[in-house]
Amino acid sequence: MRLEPSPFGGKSREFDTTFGADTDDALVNRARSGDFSAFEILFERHRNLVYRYAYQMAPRRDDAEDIVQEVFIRAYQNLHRYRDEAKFTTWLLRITANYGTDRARMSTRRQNLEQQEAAGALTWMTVGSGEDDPIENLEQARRKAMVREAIQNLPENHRNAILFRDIQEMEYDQIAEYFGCTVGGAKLRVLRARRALKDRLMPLLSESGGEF
Amino acid sequence: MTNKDFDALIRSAFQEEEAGDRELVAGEASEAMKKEAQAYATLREDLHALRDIPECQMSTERLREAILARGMKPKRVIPWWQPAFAMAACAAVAALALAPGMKSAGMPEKTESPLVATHTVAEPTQPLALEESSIAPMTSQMAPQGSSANTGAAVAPPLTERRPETRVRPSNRRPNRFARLESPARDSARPASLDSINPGSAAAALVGAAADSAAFRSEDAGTGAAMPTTFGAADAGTGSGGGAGFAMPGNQMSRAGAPQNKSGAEPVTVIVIPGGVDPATGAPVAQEVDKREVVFGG
Repeated sequence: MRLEPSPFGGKSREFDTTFGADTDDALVNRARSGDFSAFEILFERHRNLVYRYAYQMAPRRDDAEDIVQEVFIRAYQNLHRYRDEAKFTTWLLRITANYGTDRARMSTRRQNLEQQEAAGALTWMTVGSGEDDPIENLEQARRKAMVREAIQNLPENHRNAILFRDIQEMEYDQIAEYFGCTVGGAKLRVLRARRALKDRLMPLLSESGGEF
Repeated sequence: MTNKDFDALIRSAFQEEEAGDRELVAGEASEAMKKEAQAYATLREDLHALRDIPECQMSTERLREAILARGMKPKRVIPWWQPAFAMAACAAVAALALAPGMKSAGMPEKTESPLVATHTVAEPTQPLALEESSIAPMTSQMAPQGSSANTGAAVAPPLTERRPETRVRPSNRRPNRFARLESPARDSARPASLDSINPGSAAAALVGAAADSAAFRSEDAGTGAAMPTTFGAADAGTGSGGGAGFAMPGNQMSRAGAPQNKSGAEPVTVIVIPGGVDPATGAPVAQEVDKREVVFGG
């Protein structure tokens, strides 16, 4: 099995290329002509990209996988609209971001609170390793939930900038392509987003007695 | 601390330093700056901690089933008539855009339209003429008594009120009344004198063919005020105005009634007023007689 760097950054993520050496565009063309196996390869190749984004929007594995499923269904149904000018991953992330925004709008405040509470409990039960101190695990889970909440409350541009650069580890040229700006502009957006996130987090952490 | 220094500090905290950032941060090594640098380093760690997520266990089978269950989006089929409808709508909009000029020219017609509609109802159709034929004997009877104007006004005010002053009929529909008056058939149908039927009474009158002639005579008598309803506005000014209401029913009746009387397909009756007075009612006595039994002429 040959491994090659991720299309986004390549710092720590590696992709299995046993799906074939076809480019995304070639696979899209095959999928457009009715070859569902080509779309399956695209799904295997990029599902983690969508999943990582989705998990920050809905921090439960089931919900995140539902988002992934919906995003790929939408992508399959709208393959004819995909233009070759943009990268397939950029297009896919745009669908994900739009769907995440729609989903957030549709859900009521009460549902959000319930999801966050359930997600916090689930994260504490599932993510934390049994070997660590349970109190420390709880504190980490609480802090993660606060950071996620702060990210979700950011304006859409700032939220996407943070998620793409600091969670998805995307390169600045990819971010620039998504936002339709220059690389310098993308860097500036990420800087502004980080400052906005820190400004939102500081009062939350000080209220909860945490340090920043 | 300037924005430039602040950006350099954030880049350093996130290990994305550019050329010169280290010098900027080192030059501004104040306590507040160190605190800010520490805060951003913590933020970076928090964000990195968010990368630890459970693995996605969604399979391709689940996606395939979901796509099969959902199905493809139904293709939007554009009906054939939609482009035609759109073109028609565009044409309507264009017509409306060109309407201002047409509107200014068409305003008088717009105010006139109710009158035209009223006149359409009063157009002398066959049944209407037959109904109104009963009026003719009275008017033609009174005409020789010199009170035609008064009686006419009493009979036909509604018609004169509906008369459109400015109505213009197509010239090709305008009849040549002089040609009709000069035709031999009319001359033969016209009685030389009403007294010939009943010499003793000047009130004798004829309905049907004879009334037609009487009506034409009423036209000749200068009843132009009523003529615009039939012959157009141009004639309105030529008449004397007398007997306006009298001439109107006569005109209408004569046109519709005369052909039917001449056809002979149905029994044609003529009402003869011999001149007596009904003792019960005090009204003039009228007698209905078969036309074939009446000899017209002097």
